Amino acid sequence: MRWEDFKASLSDFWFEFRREKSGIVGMVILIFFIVLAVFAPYIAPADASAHWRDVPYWQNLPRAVPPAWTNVFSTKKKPPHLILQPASTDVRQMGQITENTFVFEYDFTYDDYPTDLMLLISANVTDPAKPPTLVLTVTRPDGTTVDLVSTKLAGSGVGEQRLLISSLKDFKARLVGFAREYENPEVASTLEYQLIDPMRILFSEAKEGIMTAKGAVPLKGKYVFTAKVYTFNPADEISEPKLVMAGKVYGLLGTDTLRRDLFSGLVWGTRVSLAVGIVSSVLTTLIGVVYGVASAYFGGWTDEAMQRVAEIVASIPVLPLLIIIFEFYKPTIWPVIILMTLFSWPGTNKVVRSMGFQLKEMQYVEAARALGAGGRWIILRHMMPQILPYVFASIALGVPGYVLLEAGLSFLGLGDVSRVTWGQILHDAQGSAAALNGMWWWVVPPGLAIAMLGLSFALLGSALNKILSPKMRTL
Amino acid sequence: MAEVVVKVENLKKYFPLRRSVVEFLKGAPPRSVKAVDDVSFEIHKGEVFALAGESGCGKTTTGRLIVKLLEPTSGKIYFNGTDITTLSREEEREYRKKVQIIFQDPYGSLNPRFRVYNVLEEPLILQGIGDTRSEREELIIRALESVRMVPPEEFLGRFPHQLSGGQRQRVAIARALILNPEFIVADEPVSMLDLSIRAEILNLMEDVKKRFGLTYLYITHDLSTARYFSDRIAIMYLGKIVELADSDTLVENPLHPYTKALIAAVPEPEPSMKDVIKEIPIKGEVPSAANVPPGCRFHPRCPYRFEPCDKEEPPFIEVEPGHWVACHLYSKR
Repeated sequence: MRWEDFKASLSDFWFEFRREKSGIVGMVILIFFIVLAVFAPYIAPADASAHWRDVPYWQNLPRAVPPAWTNVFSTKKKPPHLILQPASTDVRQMGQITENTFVFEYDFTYDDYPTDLMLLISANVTDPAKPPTLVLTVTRPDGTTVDLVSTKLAGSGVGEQRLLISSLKDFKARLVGFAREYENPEVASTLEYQLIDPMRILFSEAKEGIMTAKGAVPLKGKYVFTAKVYTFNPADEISEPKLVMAGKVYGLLGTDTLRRDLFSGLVWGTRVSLAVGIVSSVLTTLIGVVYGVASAYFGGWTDEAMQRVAEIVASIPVLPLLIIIFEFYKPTIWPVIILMTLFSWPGTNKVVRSMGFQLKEMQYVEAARALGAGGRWIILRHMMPQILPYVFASIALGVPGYVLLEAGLSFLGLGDVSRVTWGQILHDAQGSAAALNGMWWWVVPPGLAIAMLGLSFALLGSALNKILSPKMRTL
Repeated sequence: MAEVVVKVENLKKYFPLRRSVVEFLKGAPPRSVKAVDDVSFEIHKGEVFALAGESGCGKTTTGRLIVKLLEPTSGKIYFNGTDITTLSREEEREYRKKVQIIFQDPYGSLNPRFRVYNVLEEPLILQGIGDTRSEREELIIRALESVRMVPPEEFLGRFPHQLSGGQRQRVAIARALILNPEFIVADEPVSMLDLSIRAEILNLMEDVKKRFGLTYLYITHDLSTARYFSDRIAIMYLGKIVELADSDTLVENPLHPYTKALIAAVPEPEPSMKDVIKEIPIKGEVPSAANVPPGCRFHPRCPYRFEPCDKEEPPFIEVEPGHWVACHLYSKR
């Protein structure tokens, strides 16, 4: 088969295809997914896929929050996830002690409170016995200043430390102390300490009700956080401080209970889903076509034997078998593709074989034989080019099946665990009862993505069917 | 006597029929369609030998056996004295160069996705003729010229659907000629063409025959073109040759009742006859080749049948020089 044959069938095919509206719609959806897959490292963090199961990697994100755009549909504006860089930095040397001052400014204009306050900081400490000390204070829009915390940083190691300030006892105690000055003492004394949210106190108006969920009124305006880090050795270095306001909404698709960004997961999952779908479908179709054509061409007993083998393979139930295999053997993506392919080719084989039987009786095939053509020549030059249009259709129609199969396997927890796939996101959602807990942003997008990808190929396939029968049927 | 190019001896081709499970269990003997059943003839160099008969009589099968598209069940085919039923791969390739076939259907015999250039290049590539593209192109252009497709350059890039039926058949003839064969099997080459084009194609075949010194086996069901085009005619019925003679002798003095019937059925374009649709003076249908009648296989339809016809097979005898017939009417005389 020559490139020219391929080009000719492809251009015939495109000519017919352009007229099918549904096919064009399918094509557009497909192109959208292909763009997502190809540009995944630019659309989402480049290392998100590799770290999908790396819990600390995601620790800077809020836990199980909906997408940021939900604010548009809500009258109560929730604070988004913000990472603040210092507005100003100052270093003072006092003998052996160095005072690093970092000032962060936070414009709080929301109707709900951030979930957490975190400080990310890189500290290079020479003497582990003398760890740096952090003192954090805030000046609120109403002019009051609160000392939030004074604590020691980790003394050993180099690199970024993450300090979850809002969970420190000191932080809560001081804020509660601050709030008591304003709260009705009767109310304050009856409150359960556990239920008091320090973040709410921090961002509420200093008046009665500050300690209760009902009474608190958000104090909007500019908050200035001053973090002073004291080191006790001149060689110690403090750098890259960041203040994280863990929001109540995050990104395009929110986060899951492990604080993972679902948008990253979905984008990277497109890659795997598309790759699995297309590669499996192409491989299956190729095997089926070669097998079917050969079977038809040789005919007789060879055909008989080849078809019995194909029927045996076709009668093996694929999903249960894969479940059993992957139960014992945790696969990567390639074995999944190869196993799916190995059990799915007989269908294509049957169709191609019947086409082959028609084609090999064509007079031009006989003419070629009379000219001395052998099997290879006849199959490649005379039979394959006629079967090609069907091959394209078969590939397109096969893709959704494999996408669903892979998603199904992943959903059952039997997929490749080293990569994120749509099926795995759904599997995790199921494990955390996401649907029951109203975390729709965890369930709907991957489900919708699977459905849309399936739809795009189904539309393409139905367009192909219309084209192939009977207009393009040269048989 | 002229040199013999093709000699066919007791050629048989049976296509086995599938037995049903019941038949298989009963141990019934395997049945088969006797497409060609003991056929012998010789074709002389430079002649046009016609094989005529109704559809299903085995004439096409005989042609395909000669070009080795089918393997015979038994019997021998000699080409220039060599038995071609047992050839090595290399010898077979050589043989295919010398013997070509033109098919009935010019719509089916050209691959719809091949341009004229590719159609004609195929034999050259398969037989390893012409090392460079330009060398092959020259051969292709010459072949197109020899079938009067001029200017050839205009046709090279066309697909079969861009050609008329006659032009397609010319391309098919050019494909057969391009390898410089000695012998061509023409399997009803004009039966699917318009009447106006038939004479043109037959004249072309006649013309290239003279120019290239070819020999033809002309397979047809049409006795009028057979007489016009061929030197000798053999009439086949149910896998057997029933009569063989010079074309003129056969048409003017047919001996076998079947031949007589066939000739009587040829319509004549005479104004006085325009309302007469002639009926073949024989009854019934051709029996199935899977179930050949005993004795003379024509006897169920024969108006002259008499006592030995349903028991004995008639011998093939030379009634007059060069005029052979298989009929008890003549053998018992």
